[in-house]
This record gives sequence, C-alpha cells and structure tokens, in this order.
Amino acid sequence: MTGMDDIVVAVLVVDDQPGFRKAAAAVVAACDGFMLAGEADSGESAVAFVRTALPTMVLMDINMPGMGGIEATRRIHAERPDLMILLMSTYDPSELPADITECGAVGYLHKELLEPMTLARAWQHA
Amino acid sequence: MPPSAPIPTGPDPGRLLRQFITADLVAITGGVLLCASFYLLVVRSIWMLALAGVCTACAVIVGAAARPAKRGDYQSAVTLICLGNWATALLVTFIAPVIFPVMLLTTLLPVVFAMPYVTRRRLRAYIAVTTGWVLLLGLVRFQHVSDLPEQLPEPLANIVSITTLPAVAALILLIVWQNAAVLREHIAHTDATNDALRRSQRLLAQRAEELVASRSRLVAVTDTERRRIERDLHDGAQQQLVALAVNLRLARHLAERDPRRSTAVLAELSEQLHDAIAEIRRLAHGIYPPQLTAQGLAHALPIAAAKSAVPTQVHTSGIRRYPAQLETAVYFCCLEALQNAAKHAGDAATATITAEHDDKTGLSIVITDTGTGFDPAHTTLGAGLTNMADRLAIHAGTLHIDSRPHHGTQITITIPNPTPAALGAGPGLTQIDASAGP
Repeated sequence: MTGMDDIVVAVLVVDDQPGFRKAAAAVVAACDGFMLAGEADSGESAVAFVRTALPTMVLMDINMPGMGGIEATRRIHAERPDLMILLMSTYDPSELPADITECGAVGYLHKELLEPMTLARAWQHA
Repeated sequence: MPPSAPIPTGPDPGRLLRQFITADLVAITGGVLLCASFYLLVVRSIWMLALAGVCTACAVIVGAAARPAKRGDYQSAVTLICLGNWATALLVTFIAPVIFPVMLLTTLLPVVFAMPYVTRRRLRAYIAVTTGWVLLLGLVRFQHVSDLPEQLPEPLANIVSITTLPAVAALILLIVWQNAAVLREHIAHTDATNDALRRSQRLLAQRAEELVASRSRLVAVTDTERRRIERDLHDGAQQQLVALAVNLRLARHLAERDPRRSTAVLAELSEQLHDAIAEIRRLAHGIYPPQLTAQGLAHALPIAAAKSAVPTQVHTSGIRRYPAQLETAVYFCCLEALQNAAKHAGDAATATITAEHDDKTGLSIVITDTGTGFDPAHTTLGAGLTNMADRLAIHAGTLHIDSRPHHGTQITITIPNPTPAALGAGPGLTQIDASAGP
C-alpha cells in the first residue's frame, strides 16, 4: 500500500444523533490529513450535500429515520462511485440488514470503534 | 346489568289440593245432610243411616288428607282422597244401586284429580284400578242386599240421582279447570325461565367479547410499551454512551500527541457521563418508579405530582400498601391523568389528587384539574385512559370521567375491595448479621 497521502481527505459525517456527530467531528479533526467537510443529520440531506459540496469520504450511520443510511449510500454511490462511503452503526455484525453488501459502501465500522487510527487505516485500504 | 323481570314461581300444588279438599268436603257434607233428612222425613231404614255413615266416613278420610297436604306430602294426601272416593263409590252403589251413575263419576274422579300430583307409574296404577273398579261397580249394581231401592219411592230416587249428578260433574270439571291452570302456570314459568336464560346468555356473550377486546388491548399496549422502552433506551441512553465511547478513544489517542486537547476531551467526557446516568435514571423512573415499590402510593404520588408539568397538590388518607399490580395500575392512571391535564388543560390550570381508603367504599382516587375541560359526549376516551380502565378492571376497579367545557376535569378511580398487600411486601433494609461469631 502507498504511504500517507498529503491530500487532505474531506469527510462528511452523517448521523441523526447530534452527540455522535460532535464526537465523530472531533475524531476527524484529531486525525492528520483529514478535515471535516460537513455534517448531515439524515439520508436526504446527505444526498443533497454530496451534490453541492465535494467530500471525498462519507461516514454514514445506518439507522436514521426517513431514507436511512443504506438507501442514501446507494444513491450517493450511483452519482459518485468514486466516493468512499463507510457505514456505521451500533449493531452486531450478525444483526446487520442483508442488503448492506450491495449498496456500494466499502465497509462497515462499529461506532464505538471510531477513532483516528481506524479512520486512517480505512482510507489507506481503499 | 339491567334488572330482570322476576320469574313467576311455579304452580303451588298445596293451594290447589286444599281447594279440592274443601270442594269435596262440601259435596260430601251435602250428601250426609241429604241422607240424614231422608232418614228423618222419608224412609226410616237402617240402610239410609248406613248411607249417611258411609258419607261421613268419606268426609273424615278426605278431611284427614288435609294434614299431609299442609306438610307438603302431596302423594299421601292424594292417595287418601282417592281411596276414600273409591271406597265410598263401592259402598254407596252396594247400598243404593239407583245412584250408580253418580258413583260412576265418583270412581272416575280420583284418576282425573291425581294427574298433576303423582308419578307416571302411580298414574298407571290409578288408571288400572279405576278401570277395574268401574267393572266392579257395574257388577255390584245388580245385587240386592239392601232393601233401600224398594223403600225409596222411585220419583224421589230419580230426583236425587238427577240433582247429585251435576254436583259430582262439577267436581270433575273443577279438577279439569285446576289442571288447566296448573299447565298454564308451568308454561309461564318455563317461558320466563327461558327468557331469563337467554338474557343471561346474551350478557355472558357480551362480557366475553368485552374481555377478549380488553385483553387484546392490554397485550397491544404491552408491546407498544416495550417498543417505546427500547426506543427510549436506544435513542437516549445508548447513543449517549456510544458518543462517550468514541470520545474516550479520542482522549486516549490524544493523550500523548496533544495532552491539552486530551484533557479538554476528558472534561467533556465527565459531563457526558453524568448526563447519561441522569437519562437512565429518568427512563427507569418512567418505567417503574423505585419509590412505588419501596413505599407505595402514599409516597410515590406526591413525587409524581412534584414532577408534573401542572402544579399539583396531593392529599392522602388511610392509604396502605396494596399488591404491586394494583399500585402500578393506580399510579400510572394518576400519571396519565396528570399528563392529559398538562397537554389539554391550559396554562393556568392546577390539579389536585385526593386518595382515600376507608372500609366502606374501598380505595378511591380523585384527580381534578381546573383546566379547560371537554365535552364527554363528543370526545372518546383516549388510548391512554382506555388502557388504564382496562388495567383497573382487572382489580374490579372503575374509572369515571366527569368534565364540562371550561369547568375542568375530574377523574375518579374506585376500587371497592382492594386486597391488602401480603405482609412483608417490598424490599426492606438488608439485615446485617451483627452476631459475628468466631
């Protein structure tokens, strides 16, 4: 794998819980080479955000009211297949819905395990 | 439950029997008098006297039947009357064959009379005896032991025959009339019983339907409650703890790289932890307040009142401990009432909870608010209060709502005979074993 990119990764955090958004934003800020592109509190606003701004990575919560994370991922991936989308939730892997592997996300991360190192590693493995 | 019409009591055999005995005695006494006057005025024959004697004996037997009839022993009374009548018929025919037609009727009388009082087997026996007896009478008619027929002038004998015939016929017809009355009363009684039965069945079916509906409502509400708790826990407490976990990892990550920021994150963490604990405590109180288990309604209601959005006063009197299920139902009913007041009663409203238990009326809780009220005719009971009514019904309790627009609302909970909680209910202090031996 290549070494650390100098390109700054712009991360969009999508989660309906403001407490988690704040924590995720703090993690992104603490991670070298990453910056916060923005926050979205629903699948719909995430899809809209991706059209106007240009993030390079999306942290997408699965469990949101309305469109939900998986459907939003599908749409964003259809419009921007180059975008790296990482799904997050508090579910056990065994509890994840079946259509998670086909929506276009590159992987799934347990929310509690989110920290700067994990973020960097995920980006490098892309 | 609507008041049911009283079921008419069945026909009273005693009354009819006494009626008949009276009528029979009157007829027989008439016969005795007739014989006596004939003896004195027309023909001084010993046979006439014998005739009078036979009639008197019959009167005695029939009169004796009154005693078992009063006791309720109708079979014995009827047997006595029938035997008396048969014996009389035979003896009179023997003495004065000219009165044979009247005695024939007298022989038939017992079987017609006994019909409502005896069993089928007995009735069969009576029919058999009557048939035999008629035959016997027919034969006895043609003997000539007594000389009364010769002594009695024929026109007189005929007149006697003709006049006594209707008397006996009247007796038989009286019996027929009574039997008809008995039958009618039986039918009315059966009809009324059937009606009452059908009414009961309808009420039972209604009750069963209500119970089924109430039960499915309770189950549905339980499921809804579970989902609510799951959602509250997931959206509230769990989310806070997850964010906390992320911040903790961040603090560790920053500990060496950026100690100042790490300290800031840790400070935030501390606050978030307090918030999470408070959230869980709030949830737990919403699910089941610990004061209710420990100290019962008398202590839990004032606490709920203090937390209510509407200023609420609580007055309790005579409240003791009750089974947990009952305390829960009453507590959450009060809570529901206060929440409704907070939602609908308006800003200036206040509320009062009055809880009393006395041995006559049972447990009664009245929740009043001074709010805007509503029109009960046009508002259906909300789902929350329906659920409360269902839960109270399990303990034979009732929920009554009284409200008028602009006059506030009053909700009355009544539980007529609340069973007291078993002694030793609720957690007490743990006994610390002070007898620490070697």
